[in-house]
Amino acid sequence: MGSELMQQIVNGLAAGAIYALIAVGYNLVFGLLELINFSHGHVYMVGTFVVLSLMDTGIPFPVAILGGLVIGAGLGMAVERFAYRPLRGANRIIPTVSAVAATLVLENAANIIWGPAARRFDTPLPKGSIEVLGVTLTTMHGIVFGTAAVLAFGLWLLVEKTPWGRSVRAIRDDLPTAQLMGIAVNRIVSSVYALGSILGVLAGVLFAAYYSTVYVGMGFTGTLNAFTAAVIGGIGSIKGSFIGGLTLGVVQALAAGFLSSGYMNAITFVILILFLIARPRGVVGRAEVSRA
Amino acid sequence: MSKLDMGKAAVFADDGTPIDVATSPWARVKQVLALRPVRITLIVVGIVVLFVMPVIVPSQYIMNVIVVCLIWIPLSIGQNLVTGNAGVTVMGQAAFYAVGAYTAAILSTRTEIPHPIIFLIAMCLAGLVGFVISLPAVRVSGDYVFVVTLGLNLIVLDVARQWIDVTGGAAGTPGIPLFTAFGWVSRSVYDFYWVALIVAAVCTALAVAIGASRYGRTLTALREDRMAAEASGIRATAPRVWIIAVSAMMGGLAGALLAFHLGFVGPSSFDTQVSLLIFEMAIIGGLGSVRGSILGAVLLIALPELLRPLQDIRLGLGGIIIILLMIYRPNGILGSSSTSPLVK
Repeated sequence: MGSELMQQIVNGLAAGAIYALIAVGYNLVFGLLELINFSHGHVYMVGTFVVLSLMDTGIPFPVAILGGLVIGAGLGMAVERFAYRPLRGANRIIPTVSAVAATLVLENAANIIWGPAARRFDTPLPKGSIEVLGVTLTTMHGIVFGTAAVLAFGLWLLVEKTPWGRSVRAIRDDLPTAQLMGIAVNRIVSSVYALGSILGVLAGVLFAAYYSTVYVGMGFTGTLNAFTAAVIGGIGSIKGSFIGGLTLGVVQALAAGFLSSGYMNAITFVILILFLIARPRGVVGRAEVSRA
Repeated sequence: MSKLDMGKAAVFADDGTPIDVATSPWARVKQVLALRPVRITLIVVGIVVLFVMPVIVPSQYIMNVIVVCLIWIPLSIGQNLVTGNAGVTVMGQAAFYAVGAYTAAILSTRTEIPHPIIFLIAMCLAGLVGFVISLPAVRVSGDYVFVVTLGLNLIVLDVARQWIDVTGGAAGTPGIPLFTAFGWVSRSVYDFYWVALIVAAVCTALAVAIGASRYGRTLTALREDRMAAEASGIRATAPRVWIIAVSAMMGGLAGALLAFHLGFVGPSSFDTQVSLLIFEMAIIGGLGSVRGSILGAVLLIALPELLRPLQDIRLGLGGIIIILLMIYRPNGILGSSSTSPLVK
């Protein structure tokens, strides 16, 4: 029983690390413009499918990932440029509607190109496992934890210690003033969307490799999980994304292991509602969430 | 509308000049006819066409398409009441649709409850689910709402697939009997047309009435500027809770229609794509426009049905059209001209 519990927690942490990576890409954008990036989950799904298609043509795995990242970043920037930017400053419902519309375009395109059925995702990543105190640790666990830790640290460096990060924080705090100070707002926003999408696609590849599958529906579940992770941790906070993602992963794994895996979405949703009511700003949320 | 309705808007002619409203009913009818001849003619022609529809439509296939459109109209109108009029981005209309459909399917196959009563139960249950979900939904800030409601859609799907004893799981609930009311049996799609028409017409009338009422203007005020509306003494929560419940009731009615139309209910009719399709059809014809919602339902249901190649790309095509609309014409193809432009 004890080791079974530990096993569920380890599995949950791995799933949670992936959620955290989706959530952090989502949170970066939300923190910047306070605009819900509804298409984030879909960019992550399309990018992962691109990696699969590239591998199908015989391109080696690392190059295929690179291709997926480039396409993902391009998509993120395109969505920002065409669906969000022209509507900056409009009544909030307008960009929200167009964000949803952009998602529909991506979902439809993915359904036409790759079809609605789930596809197998095989990677040349080494498969192996060791047993520690009755808990099975696979190579995939190691890869997921390692990637998430490296990306988390890299992201922290990027946002806190570089001139680019300073611009991002300036825009987040006050967009018009940042613009007056000579920050190229549009270029920075564009680059944040690209970065968020890159993190999303990386999370997507990890997800696909971890579960050995890709499917169009993972766009929505990705959005829902990322959003829940963001709400648990605190909307707009990078640290919060990781706390929220890991928490969500563990709770889901425990619920699936000891209750029923068929009600996974329901469990996620109930957690989301509880947090929205009890702690709408999350565990480490920034004090001022809405300037509207 | 009562003559003493203090919140009543002034009446304007089509060219914008204010007019005095005649007092006696007959004089008022004559006045309206004189002021809006084109509109009145169109409405009269429309009503006549609706009444002779089963006679003039030759093929069962076309009739089927028309009935399917009528089923989607309450969904589209309900969505637009919430999103267009009240500005709440609910995105789980398929959840209420499913509640209505499963209620109708289960009650009609397992009980002897008269079918019109089943429609009312389906409506009330869906409305109740809408009411319950609206309580957390309107308390959180706008953008959270559609994730919460989309989550509701996923939960309903989970329940529909897992609770096999009641819903039939992935296989669904087959064997729903023919719709029967007061001894009249709907034996074909030509008969069922009248049932669908009545439901669609009631929902349309209700939406028009809400839009023209003081309550409708309260919702618009909350959508346009919540802070200013609250400062003017408008309560922000209750009006939006009610509109979500009303919209859910319309979804429940549509679900009951679907159940009796198909004779079968399964989870695939209610996945998240359906919620998004409903969202699209409501918005594409204009935020807060009832005509627009009806046009949206026809555009996204009948057109792809008749032009098969459009079927696969309708969601994406609709998405592109909506993005362009949001940028260039936020009030939609037939957007209501009475509201202020949404882009500030």
